[in-house]
Amino acid sequence: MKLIFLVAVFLVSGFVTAQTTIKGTLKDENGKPIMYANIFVKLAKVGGVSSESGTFSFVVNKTGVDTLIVSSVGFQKIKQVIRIDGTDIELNLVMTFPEKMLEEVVISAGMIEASNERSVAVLKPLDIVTTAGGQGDIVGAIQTLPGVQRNGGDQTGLMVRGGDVNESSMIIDGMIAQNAFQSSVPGVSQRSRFNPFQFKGTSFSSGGYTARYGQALSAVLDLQTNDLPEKSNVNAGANMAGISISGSKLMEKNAIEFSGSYQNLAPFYGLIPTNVTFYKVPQGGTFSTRWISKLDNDKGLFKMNFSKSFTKSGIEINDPFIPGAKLNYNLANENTYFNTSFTYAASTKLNYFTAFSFSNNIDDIGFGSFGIYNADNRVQGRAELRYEANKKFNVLVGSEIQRISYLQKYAIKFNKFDELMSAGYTEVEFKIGRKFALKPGVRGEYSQLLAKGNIVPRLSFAIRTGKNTQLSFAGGSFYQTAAVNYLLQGYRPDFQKSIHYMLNYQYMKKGRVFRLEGYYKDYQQLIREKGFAYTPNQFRTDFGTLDNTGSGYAQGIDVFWRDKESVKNLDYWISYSYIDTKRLYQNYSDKVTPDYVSKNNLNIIVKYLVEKINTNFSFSYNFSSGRPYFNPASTLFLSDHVQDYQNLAMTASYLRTFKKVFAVFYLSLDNMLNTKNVLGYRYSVDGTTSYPIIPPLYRSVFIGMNFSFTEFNQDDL
Amino acid sequence: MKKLVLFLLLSFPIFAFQAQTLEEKLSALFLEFDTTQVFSAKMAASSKLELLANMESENYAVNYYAAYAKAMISYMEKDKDRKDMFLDVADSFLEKVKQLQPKNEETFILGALLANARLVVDGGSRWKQQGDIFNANIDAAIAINPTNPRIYHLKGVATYFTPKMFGGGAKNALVYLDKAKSLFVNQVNGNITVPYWGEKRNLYFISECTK
Repeated sequence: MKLIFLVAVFLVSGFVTAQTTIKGTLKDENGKPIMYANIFVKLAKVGGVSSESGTFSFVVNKTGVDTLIVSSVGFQKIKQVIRIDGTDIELNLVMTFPEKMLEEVVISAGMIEASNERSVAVLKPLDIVTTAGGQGDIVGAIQTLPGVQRNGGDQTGLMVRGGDVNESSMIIDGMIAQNAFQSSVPGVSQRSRFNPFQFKGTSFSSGGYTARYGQALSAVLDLQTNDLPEKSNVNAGANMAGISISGSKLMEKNAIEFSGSYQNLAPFYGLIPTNVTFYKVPQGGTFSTRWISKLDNDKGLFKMNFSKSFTKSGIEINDPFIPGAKLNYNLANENTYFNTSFTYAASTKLNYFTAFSFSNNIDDIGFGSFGIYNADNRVQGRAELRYEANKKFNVLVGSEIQRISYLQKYAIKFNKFDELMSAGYTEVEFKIGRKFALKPGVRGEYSQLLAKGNIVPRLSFAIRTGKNTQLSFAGGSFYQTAAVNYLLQGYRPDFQKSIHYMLNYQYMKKGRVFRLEGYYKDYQQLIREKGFAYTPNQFRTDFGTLDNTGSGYAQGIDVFWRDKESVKNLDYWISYSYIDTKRLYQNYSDKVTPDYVSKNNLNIIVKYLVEKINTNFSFSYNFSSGRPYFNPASTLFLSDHVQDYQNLAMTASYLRTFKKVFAVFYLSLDNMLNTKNVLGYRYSVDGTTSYPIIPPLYRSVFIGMNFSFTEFNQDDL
Repeated sequence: MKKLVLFLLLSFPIFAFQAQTLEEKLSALFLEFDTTQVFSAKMAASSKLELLANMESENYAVNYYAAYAKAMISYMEKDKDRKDMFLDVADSFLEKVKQLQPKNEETFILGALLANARLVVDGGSRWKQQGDIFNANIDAAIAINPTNPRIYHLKGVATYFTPKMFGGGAKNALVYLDKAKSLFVNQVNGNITVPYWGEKRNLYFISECTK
């Protein structure tokens, strides 16, 4: 009995002697106390909370080597090995502010991303759709970004950093969109064919792009389609240019989507004064469908897109051969597009990507009394393997093959060519330490048509320079075969070449982004036509002899600032680009700034949500300094400039939910100030009379509405 | 025999005392957290709950309340980055909660609470991703127990924070909050191992909606 008591006393006193008090203070880098931090001893499973003055104290009963963990929101966790042996421990700890996560070092030179998935994206997909003046077209919104020429309304395509419309490539789920734009009628710019709501991500590269892509001298617009829809729904829309209906049905891990639309610009052109004469108002229909399927184990995702469209229109154009005269231009277009892709995660480290696409486009053109028939198709396949050893190292290996056929019938001429282009590429991405990311790549291409190949290097890297800033570089060599109109005539000149160097500084913090980018692009081996004097006629077919002696350069500075944080519900961005570019190519007689380039481009986009009236207002202002034009009377080639271009546009969208119906009513005003922009001049043969080239519309109004019906769930009430 | 009796006498109260303290401790800390509206006091209580969860890492309720407290702090915090950081801590406790009792309706309700807290940090760009997580959790909770008042309380709060033009707003939220109110009446409060939070908060949102 006594013994037991003694043992008990001994045991208790034993505990007492093994008690260790751990106490101390916690301060931040500026010496301010850190309150309510957690201090925890891992194995002993005891700890304390710091007081308002940053002090802490607690008792540990267990002895031995242990780990002390200190954590507080907003600070880097401290882990410290301590020896607990009954001697009191006093710790005065300083907690540091966390460094930006390593994963966020991204190569941003030449690249602007819009994504919901990446926290570092400069834009969100919705920003693109809601930009005034963009007419809900992705390309319209891309034109407000730095480095892109504002299209005055007369040209179709993307003109990036001195490159013409043929030098940009549009890519969907890894596959080239052969006819990304509606077939153009001269003098009227066309929208891209794609519904902006079908994309979850947009990466716009104004140069120095990845080794995955080639055949674009200047720029790549890379789009990723949506995965499974959120829920089943039906949408119906109507506006001054047509009606549309679309829907999606979600069946657990499968979904089917469809959309159909009919466009007819008669109501629009009936109300708005136009500067062009349509004797046949543009009209057409589109049908598209998508199938998205996720594997049961969630390791694979299959997507299929199919679309078919028909359009026709008839417009009076300036006769390119007889200045001052008009002729009828008639267009009937039929376009088919099919794209599938499959991504599969074989393991946590290994990913496969395969894709296949097919497109076919037919333009049946009436050109005065002539008929022109253009048909092209492209079949493309791509296979890729990505090995991601860890967050800091991954390797991409891939190959692609495409067959492209063009056919043209013009009067009694019959022109065609077939190209088989194959390519292989590899790219390695690694991160060194916490602040440095490097991505070298190499791409090889072989053209069967030219019986020539090329191998080019690509390189980009980024250095984190501060908590919110980074510096990055992107560069490489890029090849592209000559434009289709030359190849159709039987010419087989060598590849054209460009070399890009771009350096980017980026500051990004809480809804604010500042980007400053300088670049230099060296264009080599551009196509030159020799033997005929310059004519601005884009329909010319007399090219004389062709060679690769053309060259050029583009250099400039782009500035971009966006702030959606400072004022609630206000989001704005400003982009300014200065470009100095000259080239000697096509039928140019001298090395000059091309006629599609404005030296100064300024875009101001302001979006403001007025919550009280559920209305979102978006304004855009664009200023582009006057483009050069050809004046036969001038002694210097392309040395005259038109007046500066200005456009102020606005879109107001009223959003409202009626029971389960989500409705949007929108009103767009383009060129609100009714500025009489001039894009260039044409001259009579004798050079005495000039005719201004003007945009198809001055001030215009566009209204429409959209209704979205979500599937009726069984009411959970 | 005597020895044994004495041993038991000596040791039993210690064990009993320990088992009691955890629930009592948790109860006291939860009340400390829930009864104050002062941010610093809430911070202090949430840190103590976090510490308790570190100490008793295999206890469901302890981890549950550690996550709950951090989520509530996130709603009160003004700074967006810090809101997310509190939720990062909350998520780590939610993971533990999911491991311990994956099929418990309260696990899903906690998941929905955290998703809503994430969503309100940046509704404009998170409504889809976090809204999906929220709905999936709510649906799973309804499937287990459709009479849990916190389900409708959270639906009401989520609706309240959704802009009116997207089907949210006070009027639409009130339908859910009222339903929650009627279900809260039947709730037995006080057992800390069975979550019972939300009644007061529900009344607060009802008053906000009827302002």
